Amino acid sequence: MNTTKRLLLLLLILAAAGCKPDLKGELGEITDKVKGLNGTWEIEQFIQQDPNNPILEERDLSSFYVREGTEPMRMVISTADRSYSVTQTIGKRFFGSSGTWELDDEIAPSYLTLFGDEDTLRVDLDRMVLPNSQTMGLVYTRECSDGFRNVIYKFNFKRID
Amino acid sequence: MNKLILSIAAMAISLGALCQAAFVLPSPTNPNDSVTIFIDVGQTTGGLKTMLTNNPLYVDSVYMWTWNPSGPVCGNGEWGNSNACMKMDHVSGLIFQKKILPVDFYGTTPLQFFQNGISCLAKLRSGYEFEDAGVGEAKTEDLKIDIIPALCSEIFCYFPEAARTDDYLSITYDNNQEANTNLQNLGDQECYIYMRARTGPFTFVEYVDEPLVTSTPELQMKPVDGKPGFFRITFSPADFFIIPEGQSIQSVLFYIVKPGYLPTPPVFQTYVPLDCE
Repeated sequence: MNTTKRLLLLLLILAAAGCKPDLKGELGEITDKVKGLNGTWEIEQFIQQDPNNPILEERDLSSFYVREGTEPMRMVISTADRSYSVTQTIGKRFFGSSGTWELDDEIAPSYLTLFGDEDTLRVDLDRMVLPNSQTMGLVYTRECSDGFRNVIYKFNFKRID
Repeated sequence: MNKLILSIAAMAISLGALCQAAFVLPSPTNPNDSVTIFIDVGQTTGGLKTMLTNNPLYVDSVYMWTWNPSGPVCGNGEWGNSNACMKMDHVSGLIFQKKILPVDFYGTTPLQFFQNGISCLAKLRSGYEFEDAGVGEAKTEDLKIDIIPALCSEIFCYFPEAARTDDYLSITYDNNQEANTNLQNLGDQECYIYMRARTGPFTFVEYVDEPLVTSTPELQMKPVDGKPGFFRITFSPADFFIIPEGQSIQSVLFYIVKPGYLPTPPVFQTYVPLDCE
């Protein structure tokens, strides 16, 4: 390629870049992950995983929480006073019945701490929960004081309000 | 193709193991089968490496000293005089091995074995040997081996492997392995489980009396989808048994029954839940 052709190519690139419109408007606020949690969540699926299993086997134990004719477990999370409450008639009550909560990081949260009436639990968020999210996944890993993890429970909720 | 992938995976695991100073084979490990503990002294930093390099005849005087998941049932011996049962076999170079049956050698449950792994070191019979050599004691540094549990292939399997009393626990029964002819070839509706919780040396809490088992739907084991001859029950021991105030579940004992047949005498299986805070 001779110098003239190279110059022409450069001019063409510059011209194309010149056509690109300037960015206008605001990028907007960072999506609010705190507001995202606000609402009523109903359990859809309950999974048990063995972290000590070579293939990290998972089993669907949803039938312990979701049964025909029975209202599934519901969790109401309020951002106004950072409280939560749980109603359930079947299934183990891992989250207690009520308490307060906080996120580890309100911009990019990875876990939720539930200060329940009986216990304090740390549950990981399996994905960001945004105001328009229709699902929420909470992952509860049970651990001994020496750090040994014996079981992982995964709760998948759908937003109903 | 699958065989090729499996071979590559097996090779990767073996190579991974060989990069460590201490490891067990096979891995994943079944605590009820024999496993071999390997220590590659050449990859350690303690004084033993120098001593063996300078005194190759001592390769027949290498012993294992171990304290996790517990001390060995036969005892480590004294630091100046290891017990004969702890002697390691020389493989080649500075690699030594010891074959053990984990639950017998350590006298622990499979759960404790998985939870704690193996902590050990290699030493000369006398840990004080070559004291004047200026390289420290005749031992390696402390070595830790994490244990990866093997997939269960026994007649009774538990999920999760390490459950607390307030976890959901699944017991899976493989009727295809049943040795009792009266319980072989169970129909889909015929598999029941008698269970009781041990709360003390001589105290038990039954779910129901033995004669009532086959008329109690909660004790019926359900066929496992896609696995003919397999039956499963899932429950949370803490919720399942009504335990008197002040007592706790130490273990769950059980055996299989079917309508019209109760084994006499029954052969109890035992599940020991994880005890941790």
